[in-house]
Amino acid sequence: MCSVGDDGLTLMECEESPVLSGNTCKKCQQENTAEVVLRKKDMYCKNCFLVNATHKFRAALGKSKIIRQGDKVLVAFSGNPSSVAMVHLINCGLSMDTHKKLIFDPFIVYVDEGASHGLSSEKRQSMLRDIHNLLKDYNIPAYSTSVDMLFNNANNERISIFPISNSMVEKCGVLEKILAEFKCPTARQDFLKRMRYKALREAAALLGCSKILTSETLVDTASNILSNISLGRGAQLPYDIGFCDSRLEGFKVLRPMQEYGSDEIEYYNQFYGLNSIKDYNSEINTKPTNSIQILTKKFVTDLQENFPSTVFTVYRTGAKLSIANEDNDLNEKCSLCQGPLDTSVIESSSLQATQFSSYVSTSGPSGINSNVTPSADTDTKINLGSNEESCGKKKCKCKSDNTLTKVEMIDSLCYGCRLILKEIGSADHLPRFVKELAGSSNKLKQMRAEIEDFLL
Amino acid sequence: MPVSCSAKCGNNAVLKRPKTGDALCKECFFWAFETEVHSTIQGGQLFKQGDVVAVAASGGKDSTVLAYVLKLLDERYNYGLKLVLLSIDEGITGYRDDSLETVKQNRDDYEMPLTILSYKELYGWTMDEIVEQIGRKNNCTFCGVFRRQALDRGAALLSVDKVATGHNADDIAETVLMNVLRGDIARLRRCTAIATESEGSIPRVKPLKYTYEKEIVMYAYFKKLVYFSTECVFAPNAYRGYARTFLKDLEKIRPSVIMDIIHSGERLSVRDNVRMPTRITCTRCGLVASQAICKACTLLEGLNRGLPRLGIGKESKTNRMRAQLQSAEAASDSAKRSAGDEF
Ligand SMILES: [Zn+2]
Ligand SMILES: [Zn+2]
Ligand SMILES: [Zn+2]
Ligand SMILES: [Zn+2]
Repeated sequence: MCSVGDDGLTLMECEESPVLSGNTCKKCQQENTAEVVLRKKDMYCKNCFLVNATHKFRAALGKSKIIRQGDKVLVAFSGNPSSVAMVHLINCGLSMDTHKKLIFDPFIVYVDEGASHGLSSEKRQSMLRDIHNLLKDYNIPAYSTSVDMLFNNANNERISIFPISNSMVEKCGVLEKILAEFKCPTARQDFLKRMRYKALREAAALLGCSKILTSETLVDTASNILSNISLGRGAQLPYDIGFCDSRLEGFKVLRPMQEYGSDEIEYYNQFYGLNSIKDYNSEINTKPTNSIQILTKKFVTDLQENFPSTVFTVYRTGAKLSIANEDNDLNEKCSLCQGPLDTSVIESSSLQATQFSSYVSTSGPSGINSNVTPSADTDTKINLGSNEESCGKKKCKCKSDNTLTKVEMIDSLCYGCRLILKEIGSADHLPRFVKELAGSSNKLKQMRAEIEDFLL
Repeated sequence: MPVSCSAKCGNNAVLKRPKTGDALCKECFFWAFETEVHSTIQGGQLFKQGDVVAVAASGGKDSTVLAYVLKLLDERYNYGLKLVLLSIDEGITGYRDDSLETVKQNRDDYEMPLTILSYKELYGWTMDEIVEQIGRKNNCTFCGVFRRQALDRGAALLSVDKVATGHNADDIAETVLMNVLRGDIARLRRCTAIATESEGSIPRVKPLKYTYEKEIVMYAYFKKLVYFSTECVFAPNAYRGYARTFLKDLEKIRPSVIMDIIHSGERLSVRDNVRMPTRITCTRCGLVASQAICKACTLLEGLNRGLPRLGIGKESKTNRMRAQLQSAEAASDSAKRSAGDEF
């Protein structure tokens, strides 16, 4: 049946191609000057375009007033076109001598994720050289670090940073082990994204930066909104896709490139002759049917092609959301992504329904008393997928300290991260910070249980 | 090699549940399916003893299974409901004729009284006549808007306490995505609610909210329930179509995505400073609206005045058109009056 239903409907209007009226710049109205067509309809001359592109960056940082004079700011650089444009914009801002001058202290950091994507040491080394080349004209200190270090026992699982001019690829086997455990790329990519953020935060701490700039574009942001919703991360959406991610005290991740279309970035880099490299996600030519993130990116890219205003609408919708106040007196955070926990089991909720489904599917009619009203209290642990196996037996030294099992760990993870945990065979190879946070969260819960009767 | 039933009943499994991946035998699947709907009804406190409940019946799989399972659960758990069927006849040649036959079959099979209300009766126009006026581009706008009201009007006419609709988990997830795509923050916040209750209208409930569409088909298949399955002849060419295709692709990658999206929708929260449309009642028909004159009344006005595009598109555009209409009328009125003065 037609399920248009009761929600009304608006048509998606296909944007029409511009009527080329003598190449007039939309801004300065000079005829025959337009060299830029944005969103397939707005035409600008080169000068107006660049003025606007520069202004947008300052406006994004300026209106939030989050960055103050003299702040040390980590600038995340992957070498992809938008990060290249961002660094260029920052560099221009620093060298201006007007009141428009940017007044913060930038530190560029490149996170080597080669190991996460199964690249050879040679390939990673050559990417490091490319990154160094892209940055050599700037007078901004630049460093590299790598995600592997978060897994390196020898390193105490703390990352270090190296000046980009003198960076070497280090290999760590543990990351490979945990990645091999993932059965599907969706969870793996979500996990790696969290690890990249963790590496950036650690690097920021080492450099004494309290702010981090990342370069997600409009299409990136719209894709992230849709894919995070699909990954069950609705409650944390403002942190993951908003302008400012303040999930951790003392750190803010800012995303000043969110209103830039891919076309704008392309023109900008072209006009300034800026080179870029393909980042890891485009490097790996995965089939769109492989992961939710890649499928979504393709969906949004197609939208951008045919209905550019819809992409902006998705972005604006995301900007209207906030972090929910869960009823949670400890203000607990997820041990893996450090987003708010969204897993209180409420009557009549998707989470409860899913747990109930796996419960009834495995217990059967004889297993539960059908006269008992099923409720949120029914002890229904989430189905953890494949059986838990510790790799301690497999002569691997990772089963060290007080490693928690998956079941022990589940309560300290958010809904989205539970889907990640479900994918891996054991919790043994998770980075130490996750295990430590989960451990202390479990202790807090035990303490709470002990004093529960006396809490008001 | 036969797989044994995950519920450890000793039988061989005949299906793999799309929702959980568990392999179940037929009996255990029926039981799981029904117990879950029961759990949804109890958890959401959808009904009270003695409620008269209209099942919105389209003849499709969702409403057929809904009517069947509500009757069964009402008997099994003594809900104490009076169940009736309510159907809307949009007046689309070749679409409803057959599906209404299915609804009549439901009426006989489940022994529930049936009321059929037509768009013609409710609005004076059939969908066929509307399409003749406006073409095929915007017909789903009309159909959707009119259907919503038709259920409200019908429910009031039958003086029922609740309307139960067959929206399933796939529908809800699709609606979440669709509302993000079109930036409808108010509906995004509302659309995952299991029951909608607004002043002046009869509450609507969705007992199949957490039931996968595929499991509804499986249930109907193994229970041999007849339903009518034809897509509306006027296929929606819009956000919902995009959202649907996208969701189907997502589901192929990770079947739990449907519940994951609903979870996201349930836990989203909107900034305090975002302006929400206030919900008021329509000055013409008295039903819930977000504007002084509701969408249905506006579309109807357009049709009756021979301006079928009135009400399609943005509210501001509608207001502008209406203002033009009024000033044109005022002009012709005063022209008439002054013409009358001369005599
Ligand atoms: Zn110009
Ligand atoms: Zn998490
Ligand atoms: Zn069985
Ligand atoms: Zn009205």
